[in-house]
Amino acid sequence: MGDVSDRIGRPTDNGQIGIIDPDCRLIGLHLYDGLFKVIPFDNKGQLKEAFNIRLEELQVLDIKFLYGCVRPTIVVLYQDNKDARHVKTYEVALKEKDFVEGPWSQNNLDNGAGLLIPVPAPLGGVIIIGEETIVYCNANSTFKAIPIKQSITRAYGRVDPDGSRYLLGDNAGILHLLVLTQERERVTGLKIEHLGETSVASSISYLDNGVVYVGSRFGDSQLVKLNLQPDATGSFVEILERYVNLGPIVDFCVVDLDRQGQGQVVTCSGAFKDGSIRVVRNGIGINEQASVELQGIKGLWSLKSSFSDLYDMYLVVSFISETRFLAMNMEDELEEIEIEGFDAQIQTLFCQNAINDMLIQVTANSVRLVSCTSRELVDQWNAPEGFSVNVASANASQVLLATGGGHLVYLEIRDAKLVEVKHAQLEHEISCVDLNPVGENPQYSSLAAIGMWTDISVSIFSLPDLELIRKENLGGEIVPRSVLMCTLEGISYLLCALGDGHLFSFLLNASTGELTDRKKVSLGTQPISLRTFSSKGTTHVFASSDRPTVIYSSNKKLLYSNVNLKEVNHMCPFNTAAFPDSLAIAKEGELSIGTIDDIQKLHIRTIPLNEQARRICHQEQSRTLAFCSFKYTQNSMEESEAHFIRLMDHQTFEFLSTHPLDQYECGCSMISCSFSDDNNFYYCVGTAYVLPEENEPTKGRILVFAVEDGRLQLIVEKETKGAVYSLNAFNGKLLAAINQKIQLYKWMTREDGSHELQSECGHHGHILALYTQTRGDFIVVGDLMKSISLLVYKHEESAIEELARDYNANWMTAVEMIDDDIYVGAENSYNLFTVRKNSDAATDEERGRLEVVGEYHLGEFVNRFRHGSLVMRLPDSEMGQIPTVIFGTINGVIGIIASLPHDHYVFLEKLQTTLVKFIKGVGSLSHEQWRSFHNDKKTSEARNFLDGDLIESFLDLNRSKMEEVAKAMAVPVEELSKRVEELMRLH
Amino acid sequence: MRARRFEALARSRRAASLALSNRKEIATPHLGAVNSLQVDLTEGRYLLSGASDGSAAVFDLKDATEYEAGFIAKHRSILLVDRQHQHGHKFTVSKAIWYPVDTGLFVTASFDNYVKVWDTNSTQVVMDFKMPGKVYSAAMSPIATTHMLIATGSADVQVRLCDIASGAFTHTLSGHHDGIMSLEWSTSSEWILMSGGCDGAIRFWDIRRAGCFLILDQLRSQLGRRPPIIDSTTDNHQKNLGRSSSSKSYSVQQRTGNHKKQSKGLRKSLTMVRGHTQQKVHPGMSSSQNRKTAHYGAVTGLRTTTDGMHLLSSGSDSRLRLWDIDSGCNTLVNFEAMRLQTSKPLQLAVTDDPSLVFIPCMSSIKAYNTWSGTTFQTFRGHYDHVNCCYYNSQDQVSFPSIVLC
Repeated sequence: MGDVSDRIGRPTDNGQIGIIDPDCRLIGLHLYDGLFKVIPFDNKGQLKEAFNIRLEELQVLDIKFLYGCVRPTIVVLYQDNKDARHVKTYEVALKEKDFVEGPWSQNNLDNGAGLLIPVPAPLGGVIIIGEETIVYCNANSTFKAIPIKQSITRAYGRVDPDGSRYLLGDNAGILHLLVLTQERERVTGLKIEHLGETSVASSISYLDNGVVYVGSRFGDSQLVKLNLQPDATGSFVEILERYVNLGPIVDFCVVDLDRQGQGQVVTCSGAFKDGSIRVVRNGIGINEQASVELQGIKGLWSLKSSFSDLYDMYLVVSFISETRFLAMNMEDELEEIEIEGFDAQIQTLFCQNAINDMLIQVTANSVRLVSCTSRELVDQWNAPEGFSVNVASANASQVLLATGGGHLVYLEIRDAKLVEVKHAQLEHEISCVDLNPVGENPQYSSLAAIGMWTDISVSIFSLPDLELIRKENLGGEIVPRSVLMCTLEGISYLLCALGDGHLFSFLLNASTGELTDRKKVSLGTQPISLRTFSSKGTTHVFASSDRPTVIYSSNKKLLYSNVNLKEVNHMCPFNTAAFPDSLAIAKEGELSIGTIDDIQKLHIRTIPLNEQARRICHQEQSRTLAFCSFKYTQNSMEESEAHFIRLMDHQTFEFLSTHPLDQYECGCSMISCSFSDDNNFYYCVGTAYVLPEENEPTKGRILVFAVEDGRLQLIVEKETKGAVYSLNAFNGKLLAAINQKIQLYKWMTREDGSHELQSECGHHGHILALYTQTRGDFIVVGDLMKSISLLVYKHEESAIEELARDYNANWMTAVEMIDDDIYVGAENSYNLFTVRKNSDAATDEERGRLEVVGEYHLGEFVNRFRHGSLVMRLPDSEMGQIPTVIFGTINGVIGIIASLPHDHYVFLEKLQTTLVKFIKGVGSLSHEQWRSFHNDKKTSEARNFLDGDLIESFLDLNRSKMEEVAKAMAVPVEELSKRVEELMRLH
Repeated sequence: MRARRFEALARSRRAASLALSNRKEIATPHLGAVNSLQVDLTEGRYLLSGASDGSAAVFDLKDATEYEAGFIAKHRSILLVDRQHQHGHKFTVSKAIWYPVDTGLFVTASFDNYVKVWDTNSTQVVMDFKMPGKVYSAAMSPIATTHMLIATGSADVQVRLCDIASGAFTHTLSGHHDGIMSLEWSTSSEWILMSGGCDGAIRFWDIRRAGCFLILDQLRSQLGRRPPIIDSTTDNHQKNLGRSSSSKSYSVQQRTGNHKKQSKGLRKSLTMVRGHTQQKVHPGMSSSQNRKTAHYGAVTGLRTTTDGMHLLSSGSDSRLRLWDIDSGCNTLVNFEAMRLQTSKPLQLAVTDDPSLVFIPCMSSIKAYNTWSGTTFQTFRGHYDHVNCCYYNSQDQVSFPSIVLC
């Protein structure tokens, strides 16, 4: 391993190039203008010391190694000072550490030539892809060219190993096949064929049998099949699968669309024709399909009409002093029925379908066995005199119940009879039992899990002899309220939930009853009840509490994902023919039936636009989303861009209205706001006229729209002397950043009731004020190249003045105010930094300086910060008070920055430094180095930022590693896990 | 668009739209021509100027001292050392440079034969060096980590290296036949110094070894630098023959020197290393090479590009030349007609790209396209001859100096 960076040298503007000689003699790197770095291999395949070769061509577009050359030979596509493009070849003389003039060169190619494809031996040579022509040349001065329809080819994939066919993908997403026709190992011509449309390809890999992977940075990546025959539309391409890609996220907004107190991120994603609006939601949603008001539900069970039935039929709803039975009738409606054999005048503790087409009902004083067919009581077991059943559990053939005083009674169903098999007296009262079969037999469990009062423990008993196998003390003072044995992805677990919202999980050995790998997580603050359910053929666990959670297993690891419901008391699966895979959920005062989303953490909904959205904004009052978008249209000769402002419904995402912008006008900023002395909410849009001959826009507009009857109604337009890069609502006025100026506009009502924007005051002194954020009277400005500055609006003088600035030269890509004093910025070398207002500093000089307090290398190009959170905030939790900022990046990453309390930070920082020693980075690259703030000007260690991903990977360590970490930290593992889980709760 | 590409474009656009600022005014306290300008390398905030009245001044470019008419930022000097100062220079300050590491020190060179090192905070001279003649030029390496040397060029034929750490001359580099007008440290290796003399020669020095290792020859051009494609054995053979003008034994010596250099952990200077191998003959030993000239007449200004690959030189022959440092070749870029001052050292400036070069041409500053040599723009605004200009990449403001009438 080594470092190939040079201290001096200008990084290439066209991107770094890294290539390997096909005969594995050397690696070639083009990292800096005018230099070609060579890392030779020795004959054992080890890397030798790297050296630079001077490359005269300064504007290199592509470099590739040629096949079938005696000495390693590169072909360079470059642009000269007069913007003409040429290719040139060089042989790399390893001994002399220099280039030797290569076998051939070709001058004056297509002006848009941008991609080289080396052709393998025996053909050899190179294909040069231009915008209007494709050219093949080689050393024997073969030169073949064909014209193509104008397009920019971004990616290629070789189909045959001999290099006679290639797939080409262009920036309109069209896939072409390029064929080299040959005769006796000589290329005789080129042929190109249109195949069909895919996402805009960034990379194309031909897999086999006509299956191709199209990787895309601009839309979803796809797996496509190339058919031999075209379909009805003439396309040979069939899309087999799509892989979601959010990038590039140009803008996003955080909205609570479902009004659940939980944010969702609505992004402007994708580019070109793959542009889309994406709705990203955290946690699992329940799509409610029916609900009834029912107060005081104490339990819920579903029953089938016969044991072998696929679908559930009855829903048993238990109340404090009665039990009601609901059933699906012929009209797929839920109606109340009677099951004669069941006792409806008492609270039900448990219900279950049993073998021999029986139903079991457990109540406080009896266990009743009822025939499914006749619905009549077949057998009954009565609680002994003076005792009542407290808790019970059952499966298809077994019933386990606990009566007061620590008595445990085990019944089996044999020949439609309830047989008391065993009775045991335990030392403490029993708080919960479970009999869910985890062994091979799905109808019979050889293990029982029991939670106990007083000593706060959970025990595993063997069945049928009720022998104690294992007892696990849980510690603390909170009673286990629900235990559950379950098998997820073939692994058996024992889950034990406490009355305070904590959950223990153990690995359970289904044959011996051994418990290992104890873990504790906190799911909520209220008692949890656990139930299994299945969705799409997989079993999951539902934990009902104030923070309902689905526990599922992925890659043999337990994962917890919150459910987007406020509070759930009870849940049972209710899989009926009309509502397959549904759940019945008892909330406070309500019973509802709904289906559950796919079991995964993030849910992404795509609204394709076929054009690229640039800015998005939500207006709650009108229940709409507005966005600026633009569309490329390519006529026969002309290429044009049309910009729009579009309005859509925030729930259905239907287009409501479109306002086209003028020619050359594009939307730059958008907000929803209201003005002082006017209660209406408006969409304000800032635009710029991008004229081809201008370097910097000199004209723009501010447009104010009202939403009336689902239409955008232009209320006011105001011309500006430049591009309106940013808009903010500011003290009932409108603050705009126009080129290098910050301008404040008043909202004036004329006598006739119409409105106008009147400029009030402004502030000069920026290169380009691209981003503004406001808080109170303070304005934070992110400049194109002069970092962050802080302005203040003075009411009395009605003037904007600069208070302080950061004197570093950062090229900003986004800014946000975390709180009154701390501002976060992202710059274009993929770093984040925070600055602090020095308001209590002694001198003017210091007060005029924003002190850089935090620095961090994110490795992502951040386009937008927004306050908000993807998780539901519990108002009473400590974590609920932590301010968070969401960011979206070019690569489609959505991340979160949380501002932690100081003691918390110190603790986690210590954990991070400890973890770095235990968790090795990819390729053993140093974490510290990677996270160091790094740009052209300086490199400095990350400070006051923590890597949440690294800290959370603590939970993925195995137990022994965790213990080592805990030892190094001198903190118990449980405590560490708890702190890390708390952190995880933030997102 | 890639972030880098965007940044490069934005920078070049800004450079292209450079114009005389009417919102910024630097109120000069100097009574004579300004000979030198430099903005500090650490913060990019303080401008240091040296003038022919023997004074040097510092300006804060970020915070204006006052605003005129509300928006014209007026910057007054925040520090001034002139003849009234007890240690001030008696005659013209020819060069004033910042200590590259921080703004705590600056260095002035003057025609009164002294080079003085100043403490910025106390405005006291902490060290001075007496030179044998008028000092035309002084330079410090912006990348040096192992030495604190001020290279000085004076009317004397030798380049002297003054060590701030010890207060003594550590080296005298002899080779030039006349006074030294301009000096420039390499931006890729901290040991490589370039000097331009009144004899028209530009010499490259490796301060760790004796003698200069390269003299730029205006007649040696870039064309055909790469050996043509022939079978490699004969190729090598021919190469040796082609280079046989003198001392064959030297090539061995040079190679060992080359290895030693690499083993010293100087990976940054690979391009320079290759420079040695290209020039297999030690020019200091060869009289024929010793007479090579880069310009007819004196070399008045030197400037390397920020990537350390090219050198720009101006001469009293009113020529601007672009050199490939690596090979020592003249790139033969024909910079369009210009008239340069002949008797004074000139300070050139280059953009970061380096697509533009700025050169004082009599009473204007001309910006040339570096690669094509075409005039890009001419900046007028001065009332008399311009001596120096400086391009501040952070703020993208070019500071031309003013010569008062």
